[in-house]
Amino acid sequence: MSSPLRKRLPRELKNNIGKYLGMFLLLTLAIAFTSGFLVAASSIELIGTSMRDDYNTEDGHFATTFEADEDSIEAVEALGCEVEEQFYYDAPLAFDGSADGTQARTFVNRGERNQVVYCEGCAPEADDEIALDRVFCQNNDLSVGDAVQLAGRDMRLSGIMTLSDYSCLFQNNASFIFNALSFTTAQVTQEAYDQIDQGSAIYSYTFFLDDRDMPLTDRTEFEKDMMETLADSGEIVTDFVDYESNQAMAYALDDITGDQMMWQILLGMLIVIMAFVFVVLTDATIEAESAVIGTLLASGWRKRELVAHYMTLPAIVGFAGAILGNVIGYTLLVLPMQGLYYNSYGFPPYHTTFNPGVLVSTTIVPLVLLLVITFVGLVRRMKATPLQFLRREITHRSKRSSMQLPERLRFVTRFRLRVFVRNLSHFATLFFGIMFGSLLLLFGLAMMPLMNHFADESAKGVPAEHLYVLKTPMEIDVTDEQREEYAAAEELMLTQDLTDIDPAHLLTLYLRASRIDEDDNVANTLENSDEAIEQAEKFAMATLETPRRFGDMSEEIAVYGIQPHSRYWSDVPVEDGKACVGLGAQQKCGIKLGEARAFTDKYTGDTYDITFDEVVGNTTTMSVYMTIGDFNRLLGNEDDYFSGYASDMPLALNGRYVATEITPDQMKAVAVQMQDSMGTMAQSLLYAVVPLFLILIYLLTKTVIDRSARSISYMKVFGYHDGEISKLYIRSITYTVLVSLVLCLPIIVGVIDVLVQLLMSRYSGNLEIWIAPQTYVIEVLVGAATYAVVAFLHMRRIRKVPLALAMKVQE
Amino acid sequence: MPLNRGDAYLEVHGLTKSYGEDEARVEVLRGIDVSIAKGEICVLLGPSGSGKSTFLNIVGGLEPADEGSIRVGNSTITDLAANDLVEYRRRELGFVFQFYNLVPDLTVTENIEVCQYLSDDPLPMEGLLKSLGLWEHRRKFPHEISGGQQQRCAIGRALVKNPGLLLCDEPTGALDYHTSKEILELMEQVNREYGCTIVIVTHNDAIKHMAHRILRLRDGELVGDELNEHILPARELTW
Repeated sequence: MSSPLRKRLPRELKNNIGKYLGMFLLLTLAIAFTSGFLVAASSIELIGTSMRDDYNTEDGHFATTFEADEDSIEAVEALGCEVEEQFYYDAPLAFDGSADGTQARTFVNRGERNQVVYCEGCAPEADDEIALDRVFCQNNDLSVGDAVQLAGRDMRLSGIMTLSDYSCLFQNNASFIFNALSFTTAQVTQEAYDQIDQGSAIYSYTFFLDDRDMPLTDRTEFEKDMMETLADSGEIVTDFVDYESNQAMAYALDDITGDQMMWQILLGMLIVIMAFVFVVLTDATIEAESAVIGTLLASGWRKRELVAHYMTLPAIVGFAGAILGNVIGYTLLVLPMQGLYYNSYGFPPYHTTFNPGVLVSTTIVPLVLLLVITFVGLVRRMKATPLQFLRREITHRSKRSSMQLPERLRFVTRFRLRVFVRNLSHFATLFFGIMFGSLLLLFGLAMMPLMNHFADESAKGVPAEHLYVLKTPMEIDVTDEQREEYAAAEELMLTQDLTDIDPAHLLTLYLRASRIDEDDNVANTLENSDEAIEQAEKFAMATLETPRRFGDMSEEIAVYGIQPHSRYWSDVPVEDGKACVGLGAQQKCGIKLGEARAFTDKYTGDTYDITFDEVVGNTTTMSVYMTIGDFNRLLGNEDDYFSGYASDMPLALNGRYVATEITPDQMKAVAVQMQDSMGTMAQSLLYAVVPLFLILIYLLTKTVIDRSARSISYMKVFGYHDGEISKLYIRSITYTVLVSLVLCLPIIVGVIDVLVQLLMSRYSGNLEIWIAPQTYVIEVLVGAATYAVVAFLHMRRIRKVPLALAMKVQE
Repeated sequence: MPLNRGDAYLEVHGLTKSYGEDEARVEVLRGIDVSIAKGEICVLLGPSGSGKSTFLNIVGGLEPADEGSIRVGNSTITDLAANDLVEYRRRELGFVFQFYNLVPDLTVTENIEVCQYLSDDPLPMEGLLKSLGLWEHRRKFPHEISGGQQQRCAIGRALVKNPGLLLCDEPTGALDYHTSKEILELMEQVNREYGCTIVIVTHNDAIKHMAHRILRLRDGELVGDELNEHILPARELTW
């Protein structure tokens, strides 16, 4: 015979619909959002990481000024790799509505290497056909069959594609931001390519190592050998990028990895919150069912039978929530979530890959938690005797509630104090619940203002209007003769066939170039005003790694050698023997003043110890500073070595020797890009967090108000007005909620600080927790408004309770 | 025929009440007519399901009647709006429940203060506590005193407002014989000292002997309404 208690289940569900619906929604939404995102992200990550094998993507590429000799290529290949031509041409592209200066990096139809994935249409077959990048086409509303003009030639869009080595459209690897609006990759037939090539093709070569699993240090050595071999063969290398440092290939995956971390943190928070709610709800169930349990135990029911009975509904609700959550996650949410990435990055067509790890963390863990917590809670409470249940003595009566209060206090004051003291443990529960809920809410609310703040701080961190980073030391304070000498040398170097030059001019060039003193630094071939030269300041910079405080990853730190009493780094008081560390770097890497900290060059493996004397800058300052003399001594450079100029005036520099130019606007652009990539995530996080916050507050206040419901009913029977009842009971709860909302803020900020640091341990740079004042106000207002709605719902329910029922309630 | 003694304080005419609809409809009270004089102790007897508690709830303004009228003092409570019913309970009524329904974390004094707070002219606390025999226990919490003492406290809570009408739902239902008698004696004393009208709903037939008026309900109908010619003091009751 089945348990007669089973008949109670539908009624229990109906009578406690608020509680079970809340629990169901909490589980469903938490699972739906987290599994939806994490499944999409892990599927994309899998697609991205398997591209190297599936689409045969390169291990790196280099470019030479002219087409390299076959002998040079063979010499490189002899080192242990295969090299393949992948020439391209950045051609102007025009179509209806195209942005000025739109360019298409045009390749010949790809073969087996760096394969192409067609999303729509097909590869160009005719000479007037072209294929363009999917994200670019999406951003510019281009579809197959549309007419475009490539380098002035009319062409038809035959296919929309993604190049496996361009998941993110970076035109230049040194660029700070990608550009999928006015830059695209393109493929055409060989004939079409030959027709548009106007002699300024980029002679790019991809290489594929024989040992594709070579460790980074070995690979660095190998790549150095390649560079030397090319140089020895007389080739001038203009670009050399390893696949790991190729932003077009690595950026998107880095972004996805970082976002997953953010969601995993949210998932962790949700699991703690759910565990907390389950504990509270289990206790509330036992308390409410005390008399029934006592009666059943007294009638001979076994405790395990009752435990099984009281486990049934949470288990059914839990399984239903888990199933529905996954169904919603995998069906409704997974596509919008993957869209967040596919709208920015070019990956092969998306397909969801089942990820057991995600299922475990988003579904199995919360479900098991629900069952275990409910089971342990029930077993623990079942230790009471039947009589204790019947007398409702299962809850520990604390000494606090038996405390005498001074009789001189007004009755209302004493009553409120009693209500407060009686509910102290519940209020503590409410406090922690509100804290968890607010943590969730503030985490969602704070992310966007935090990014904006980061953008502003990053811009402030650039010491000059222009920071030019050079590939080799290049002097700007040079004579006209020196400038002419280098211009001559450059002209000679860039001329493929010297017979094309007039012999007299050629002789002049040779004569001028021969006067170059090879011991001197390169001279700038462009002229700058005396004023510009005067205010420009040399600096040296190297990127080294040091371990982060959290996690096992290293942070890339910019090590600067600057002039003592620098006009640009005026707040960095370096002098010989005195080094300074940026506050951001110090915080993120846990650097202590006065202690030597090892910095490593990841390409050479060389380690340098630096001891710091002072902290400078703000929390976004991820650099360390020393005098340029100390810098050169530390890294074993020539005394006159430098690698850049800081200048408030724009400098005319020979672009051949400029690695990059950093401006405050560019730094803002980086932060804007970060806002873009993390911001959309933060926004979607907020959509997940607000309903969860509402449910959490509802469940917790419901347990507190429910516990007072009986007393409230008595009061109504005695003749208390609703206003008076509110004064005695609800106001205490209201005050507690409001005070909790405010008091928990400092704790939350501390927790968020740790979470953000944990989050940033996967990113470069430092993001100090900064919460806009209005965010606090919004957080408290949302919390208070939520409580107001919830309290209104509860009070309406209590008001509807027939007063006659209070007469029948047994104490 | 209903019998009256003195001026009617509680007058009920044609009171009906039913629950449910259509085939599930159950008539709980079927046209009750009764008058109770001021200062009377009235015992309402009847088996379970006879409508005793419903009658008490309607007189107490906790449930609306379907039809009929109820006048208590100068108020016709069946005409009152919800807010006025609150005022009526506040001014005119005291409730005593079978299971005391004390607020567990208020002391004896504080539990009584819960209703003292509602009255403009409450009874003096000290005198009340002493007459209830609770003076020694006034600082104790409900779980620290016996069931009888808890019921005394509940009576004190009901009395402190000095109500005109005291409604008692099985006030001795949860108590042993001796404690029950003590409580009944207390009610008798209260009636004597404060002059309030008391309606006691009970299963216990013996209690009728201490009442001035005995009402009997069966299946929602008033089947007996008699004046007790031979009132016994509560201490002499036996069952």
